[in-house]
Amino acid sequence: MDLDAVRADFPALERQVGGRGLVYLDSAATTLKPRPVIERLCRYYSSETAAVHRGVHTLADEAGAAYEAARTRVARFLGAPASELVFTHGTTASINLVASAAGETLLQEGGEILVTAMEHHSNLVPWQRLCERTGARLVVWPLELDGTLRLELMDQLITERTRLLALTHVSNVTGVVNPVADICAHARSRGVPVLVDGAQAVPHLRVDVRALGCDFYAFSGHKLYAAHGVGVLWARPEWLEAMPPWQTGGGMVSRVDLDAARWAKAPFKFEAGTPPVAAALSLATALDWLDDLGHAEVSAHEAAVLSFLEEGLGELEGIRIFAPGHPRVGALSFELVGAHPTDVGMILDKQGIAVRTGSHCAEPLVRHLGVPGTIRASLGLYNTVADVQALLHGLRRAAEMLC
Amino acid sequence: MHIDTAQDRIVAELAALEDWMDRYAWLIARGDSLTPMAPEHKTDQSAIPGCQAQVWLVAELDSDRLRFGGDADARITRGILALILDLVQDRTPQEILAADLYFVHQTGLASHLSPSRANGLASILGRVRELAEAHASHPQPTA
Repeated sequence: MDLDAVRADFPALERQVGGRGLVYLDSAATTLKPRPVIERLCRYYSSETAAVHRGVHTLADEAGAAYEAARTRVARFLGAPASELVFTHGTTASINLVASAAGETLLQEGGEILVTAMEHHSNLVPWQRLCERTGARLVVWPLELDGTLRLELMDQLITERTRLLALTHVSNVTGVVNPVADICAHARSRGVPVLVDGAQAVPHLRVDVRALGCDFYAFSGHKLYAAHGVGVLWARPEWLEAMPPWQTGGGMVSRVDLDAARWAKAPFKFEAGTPPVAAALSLATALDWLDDLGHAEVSAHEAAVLSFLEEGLGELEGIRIFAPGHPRVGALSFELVGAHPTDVGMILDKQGIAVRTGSHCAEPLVRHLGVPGTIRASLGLYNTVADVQALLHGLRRAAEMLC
Repeated sequence: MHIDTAQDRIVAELAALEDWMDRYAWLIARGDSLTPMAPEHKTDQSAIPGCQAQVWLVAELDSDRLRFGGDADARITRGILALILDLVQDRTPQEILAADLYFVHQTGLASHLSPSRANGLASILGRVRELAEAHASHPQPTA
């Protein structure tokens, strides 16, 4: 992989922040966008704009065909056919869809929803609400002191009362990869469906949903170099068949009378209203562009930068890494002992370094770690060893000022 | 000292500093001079929501003047709090409500510390106004 050429594809990296070239270490929040993605958006809005699946005119036909081609492309990324892929507006919408549409079917006779204590709020709050609505019990899979899953509890937590397990593939705080395939295999042996939040995994890991053995897989386009506003829900066909629609309206029906309507087939049944066409097209473009770079090369580069980061932080005085030594991708959280993470983040910002500080929409996990927040450095494929060196230098200056 | 004279001093002091790293160091020093708040005053009522740092602010009327007390768990935010409290300390609610706190713009604090940064600048200013309004409209009976 020609890193200079890759970086040249990201116009945002030309920006100066605090008088220096931007050091962007917040890709777990959202990735910067490469030129092909930006150009795809421009092309759609310049000459291809049309609503999909509605008109018989040329532009509508072209947009409809391009949107369905994007569905096929994104489904292929997960090793699935297009018929199993629902476009949503993001991971949050995908999870809410399942919690709303499948929730009441799953919980007709009560039971439990199992979530982990490391979830992003988007894979926690929808289940809290579902349990409030249905009277079901929310069971929480507890964590080790370092914030990783207590795997030895798997057997006693997944029981005949469990109606669904919802967990993240990769922690958005620690970057630690959960052994999702093993957990799914265990859950399947108990007849428990599993929803996997893949938002932090797909930018770094190749995911084959059938090999993973889950029932639902959700992710967002904007963390995968594509535009904001498009997300994905993959679900097993039997679920797509069984789930009633979530939102209703135009585009998701096969016939509408004044007093009733019949639903279109999945996935259209779950796509009420005008879908995020341009963003979906940009996601397909991003996946093609990533394929051209080569997954193995991208992964090797990211892993090298991440381990350089972990080693460099390990050598800095006063830095404590959360969940050190665990298999991780893309992100890492730490604290500068004795300093508030917000202060550190603000001082880094003035040196042109973008990190995320705080609770990362995972308050229970950060509270469990016993800190007011963490500092999270997260990587995209454009990050370099020089970016890590800039961070380490910035942290030394922050320590001088704060500790 | 008139509140505007005090603001002008802050503007001049920050302008004299070369870059934002120096200004942050100056703010940190200002924050360190703030009297720590007693733990029993750090309640849900005195907490200001919406900041990444935890910030607490209380005010009581002493004859016709407001006495503020505040604290924050992050040092730059604490410095911003100290700056604001120095300006409004021991003034009447009416004086505070009538003041135009232009220093936040003239120092660049407003643009450099946008509300989305969750550093508390806008929230602290909002709470100061709320407390001043509460005491202006409901003055405590004097003995």
